Amino acid sequence: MLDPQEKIIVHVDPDLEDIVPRFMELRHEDVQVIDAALAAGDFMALSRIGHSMKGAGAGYGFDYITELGRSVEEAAKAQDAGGVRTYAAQLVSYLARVEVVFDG
Amino acid sequence: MADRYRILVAEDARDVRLLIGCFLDGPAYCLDMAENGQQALELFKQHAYDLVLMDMQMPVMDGYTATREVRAWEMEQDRSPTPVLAASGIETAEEIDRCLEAGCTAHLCKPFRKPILLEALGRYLRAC
Repeated sequence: MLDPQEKIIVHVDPDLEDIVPRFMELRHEDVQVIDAALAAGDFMALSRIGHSMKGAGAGYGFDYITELGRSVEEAAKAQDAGGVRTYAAQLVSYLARVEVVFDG
Repeated sequence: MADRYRILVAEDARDVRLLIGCFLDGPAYCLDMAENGQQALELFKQHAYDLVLMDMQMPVMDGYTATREVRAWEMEQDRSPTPVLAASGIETAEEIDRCLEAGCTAHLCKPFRKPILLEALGRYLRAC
């Protein structure tokens, strides 16, 4: 569990500097899509979002996004709305605190 | 050995397509991108590829079906098999078997790390 006050520094390959902003935008979009899917009870969509986060995160250097994606996907497959809500809140917190340093 | 390898990337996630494009940026590779298996199959029939990087979980047509279709078309056309690397977020023995049974040459686990992707391409492109 992450300390809610702590800044999170992620070291990323400088070659990815041009595409990381788009990656982060997509993760913010994920938060909106998760909220909408939770409201609709659409666990299939939630599973897809989790799968997508899992498949992309660590490739960019964001291992925690991959971990969260795996958790979202598993919770969605178990139709565990509370679990998905918890992981979505962790994603929001992470996105608010993450700082990227391009020296990985 | 080819001067420039032509690679077909079948991947539904925008951020993963961007990432692969970034990893393989440079004069050694020419990439064509497909967002699902159906698009990948259509592109495969139109161009000669040195390798296919095939996501297995995609909408419209998944990677298992697309790879079977690719192999059937190659047989019909009497073409040598193109290396098809399965990209999957599932790393179980059953999943690897499923990819190989569909006709994939090898299985790569997602998320991609650049050194692992380049090493796999180096291994399977060597025969081109």
